[in-house]
Amino acid sequence: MIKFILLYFTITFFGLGLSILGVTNGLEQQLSLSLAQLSGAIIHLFDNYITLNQAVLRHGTSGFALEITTACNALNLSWFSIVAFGVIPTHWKMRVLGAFAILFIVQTANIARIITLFYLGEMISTETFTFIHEQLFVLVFHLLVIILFFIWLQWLFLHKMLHYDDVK
Amino acid sequence: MMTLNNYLLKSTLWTVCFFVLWWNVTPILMPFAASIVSPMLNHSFNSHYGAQIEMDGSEWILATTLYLNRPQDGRLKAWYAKIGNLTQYTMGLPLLLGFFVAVKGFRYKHLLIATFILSGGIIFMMWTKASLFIWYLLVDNSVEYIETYPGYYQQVKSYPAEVYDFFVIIHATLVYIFIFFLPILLAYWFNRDFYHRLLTKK
Repeated sequence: MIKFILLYFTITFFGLGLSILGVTNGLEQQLSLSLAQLSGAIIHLFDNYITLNQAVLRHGTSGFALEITTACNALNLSWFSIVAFGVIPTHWKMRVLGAFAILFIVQTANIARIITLFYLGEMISTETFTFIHEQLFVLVFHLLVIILFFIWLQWLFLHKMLHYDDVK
Repeated sequence: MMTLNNYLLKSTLWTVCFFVLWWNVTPILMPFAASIVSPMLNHSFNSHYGAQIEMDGSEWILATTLYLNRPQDGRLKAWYAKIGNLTQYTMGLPLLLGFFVAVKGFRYKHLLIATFILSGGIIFMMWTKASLFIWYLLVDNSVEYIETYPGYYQQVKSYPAEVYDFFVIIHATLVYIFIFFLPILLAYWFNRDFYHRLLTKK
């Protein structure tokens, strides 16, 4: 357990360090742009009044605009989740599978969050929007990752790929 | 016997309840936290830096006596910094309470200890956040003088930028750990047998 915690802390520290020192700036900007493009493309399937300028989504009717900045790409949460799934003492194949699966799920949920916020922003006050954006969605994402982590742990235990002695 | 699905459902519902409660007590919680962090800052830095946290709605404002220009320039300006809204730092509390209370047969004593540990961690995070704002000004001589007494200016010690960057990374990592990882770790740590049964049986 102590080994798991230390490993988790060290790896997350280095990843976050790269982000804070600006080493991953290019990747983060590209990811934000891709998220904006993907969200815009999905919205286009049912709403033709949307325009996309770089990473800014704008609604043609209401004029409401949402910019997908580098803080909106959920990269930090993705990193913390990937590391949590990646350091579980099981087969390497399972670690990689778990890490990729959680990355995919977090980013898919993030696109859903962006689309939801885009439409909510037109309808609700700035205070409510800030609360949903900065508090509620943070809680929802944390709950999502924690629930999936427990389900993944149980699956590994039941399939004898993880032993209690290794994690206690 | 509780299944994992039951536990997760129960935890989620409890977390939502505690989240609503937490959101309602935040206007009391944040000024209370500021009143603890302020003396900690004054104790950890030269008390003449005058680091005092003031509230502007839910935003934290750091008032100092650090000066941005040399006294002889005649353009002295006491430095006020907007730290911002630190409500997110306390988001681990509803998670901890939700996942702890959903445990069958949990002990209140353990819940209190876990809440105390997490609260201590949150206060520590808030203190480091405010400290980083002061350190930022002290990096590479951004601030050179401090008014220790009215009309008396003292040169301040500067810190290398690398040390500051290192602490920023440590702080950011710890914040994520305290709002995301530690609440679940504490719930697990105090109820290991329960989690073991939960995870190893269908």
